[in-house]
Amino acid sequence: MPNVSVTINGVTTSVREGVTILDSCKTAGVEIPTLCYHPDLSLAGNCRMCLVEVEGWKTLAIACVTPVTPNMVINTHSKKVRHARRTVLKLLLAAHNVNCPECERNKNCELQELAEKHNITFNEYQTSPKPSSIEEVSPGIMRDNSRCIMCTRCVRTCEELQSVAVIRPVGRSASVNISTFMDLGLNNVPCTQCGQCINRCPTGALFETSEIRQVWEAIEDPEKFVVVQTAPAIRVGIAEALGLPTDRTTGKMVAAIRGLGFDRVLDTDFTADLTIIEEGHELISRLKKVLVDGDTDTALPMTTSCSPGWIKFIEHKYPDLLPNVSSCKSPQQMFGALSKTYLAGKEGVDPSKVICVSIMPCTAKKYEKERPEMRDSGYKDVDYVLTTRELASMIQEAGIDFDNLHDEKYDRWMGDSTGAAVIFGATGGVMEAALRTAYEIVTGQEIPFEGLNIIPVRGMEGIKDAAITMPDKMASGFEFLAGVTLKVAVVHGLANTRKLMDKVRAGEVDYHFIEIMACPGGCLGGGGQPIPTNPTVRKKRSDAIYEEDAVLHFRKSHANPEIQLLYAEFLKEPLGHKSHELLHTHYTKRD
Amino acid sequence: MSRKPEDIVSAAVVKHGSGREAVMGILTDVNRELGYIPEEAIKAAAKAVDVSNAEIYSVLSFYSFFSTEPRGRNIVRLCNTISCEMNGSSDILDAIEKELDIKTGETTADGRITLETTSCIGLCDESPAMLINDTPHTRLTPEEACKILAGLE
Repeated sequence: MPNVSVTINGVTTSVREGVTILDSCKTAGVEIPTLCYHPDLSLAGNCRMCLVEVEGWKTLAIACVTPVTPNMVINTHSKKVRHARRTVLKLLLAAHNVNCPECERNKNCELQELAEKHNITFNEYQTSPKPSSIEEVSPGIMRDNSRCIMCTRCVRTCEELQSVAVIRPVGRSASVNISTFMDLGLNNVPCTQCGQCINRCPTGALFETSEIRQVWEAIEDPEKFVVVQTAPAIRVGIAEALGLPTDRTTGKMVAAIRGLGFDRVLDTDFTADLTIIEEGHELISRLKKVLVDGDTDTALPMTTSCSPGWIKFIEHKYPDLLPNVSSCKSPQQMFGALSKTYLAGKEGVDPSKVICVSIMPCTAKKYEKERPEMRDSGYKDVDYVLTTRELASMIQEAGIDFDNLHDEKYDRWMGDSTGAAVIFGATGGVMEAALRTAYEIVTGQEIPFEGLNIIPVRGMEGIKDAAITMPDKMASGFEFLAGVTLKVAVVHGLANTRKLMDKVRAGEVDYHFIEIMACPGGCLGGGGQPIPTNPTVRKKRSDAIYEEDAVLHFRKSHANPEIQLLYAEFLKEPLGHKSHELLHTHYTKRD
Repeated sequence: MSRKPEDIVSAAVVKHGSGREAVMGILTDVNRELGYIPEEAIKAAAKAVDVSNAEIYSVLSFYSFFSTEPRGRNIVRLCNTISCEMNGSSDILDAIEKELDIKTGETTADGRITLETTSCIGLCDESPAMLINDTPHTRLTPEEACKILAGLE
């Protein structure tokens, strides 16, 4: 496309023909307010917040959907524009439940921010206040349509990013609502609970099902031994959730959580490393069954199982491929099971008194912990799940000055982490961690990538793949893999996942191992992460994660000293009796 | 014996195709034959067109002529828009509700009549007007409206 000349607020600049007025203004450093627009999604042009005046046009132009044409003269804050935008805002506010102090998104709401920026101190359209109405309750996600402004960002997220498409506008005109099939609610339709809709809602119409109150009660109960685990992606999200710049703040995070009064601060990274050991051995065992024993019942490619959004997705959409999913529980659930067995033993506490809390970048984890099969410790393995946002809220409520905290370390037994575990938080991370360990198990040597950095599986491309050919000389017992080329793929976002799984189902690809994360960017872009989440933010969080990997002393899961101790004293061997009892699970076909 | 919803959808797909543009045709066929669009038909249509159940539900919820609830053998739609309103449609509605002993949106116990109101049906020049199934009735009075309803099977 050639460049064209446009004039924005009297300044003439050159932009690519065909880009939207909104994008050309952004390039020129001119801000235009938006609501229905989101950089991850298709254009809707339905909120009319971004109206601008174009010389010679009878009506105002919708900046987000109107392409520039040669010599277009645009005014972004003429009297006509300001009047129109104020009217749009007031009408949206009049149809909105304006009860900001009681809203989850108070001070992090695009509608509130625009009202402030446009100095809306009086709204002549406001009649009676709109009462709050919680329409939907599910383990991970709640919806209050009294706060909905019908921008359809959630609808587009569910369909375009996740190909789940369980929410749609229902009804017509003033009575239209975002709802589910037959208004059954998210809990009764194939919703994956990924929470990506929450991350794209400009207001507080969608939010997580909070467990803050239950966690405070557990902390304040002297009878309870409350342990907390923090997922890999929290350490690069928590600062953002507290209004600070994106950074890896592991030490401060540990200090803040300890300050809240938890009895032990431990790391999901520990069980991420454990997942790598168990899943790596499972993969090798499947490869042996197929390549050596000629077993036709063993399913390949094997897929990862850490992402609960992906698990719910496959249970609904590809139940015929459930044998392909690794039987490993997610790191959160492995942690839960061990916290009430191994850890209780180490700490000498009664397992019935142990309360396991997880801090997750995820709303689907709230669903996962409620699964009836997640009680292998004899108790509910994980009691409560808080999102990154909920943790930030507790830190703020406790008045903890996060930025000025001194770094602290995790407690022992289940607090050691490796770089391999940290990168679980980014798309491609589980694959990279698995390859670092599996390659070494079968060859006896480190994987031949400079600095252990397996660059082909990193980055934000939707579907990535790589092939690694095994050397001729293998470790004893793994000779069957000599010269074999291991083919792997990495996919994130459920729409990308669907594309790949269709190929797997049709037998069009011959991968051995696939990493699947439900959320765009992996867990760092999860539905429980700070808002906004967009391509720029995901890149920053990803950079922070790989930085943390690079500085950690141990970078391979099998090098984690506490993991070695766990096997020596408790589990005995990977895929052994205890592992099967506590760390592996099964899946359910769902309609 | 009427056909199963799934069978009506299958036949409609043969007629209208299985692209997204076929959705209205499929839903219209089901609605015409059963008087409403049951859940099973929505699921079958979603499967045939390869879209989510929610998308089909969203489309049909937009049109007041489609319903997901079973309705009576005859559907009365009285216009409630301004011209008909000015010429007495609300009196007619009161009379009908009293005569049939149902409220707007309800169906008589014998399944004979469902009463609904509708936005403008383009008969303002002959208002007040109503549709009974696909037939318009115009220049109504409360008495006349009730007489017409009495003649319905």
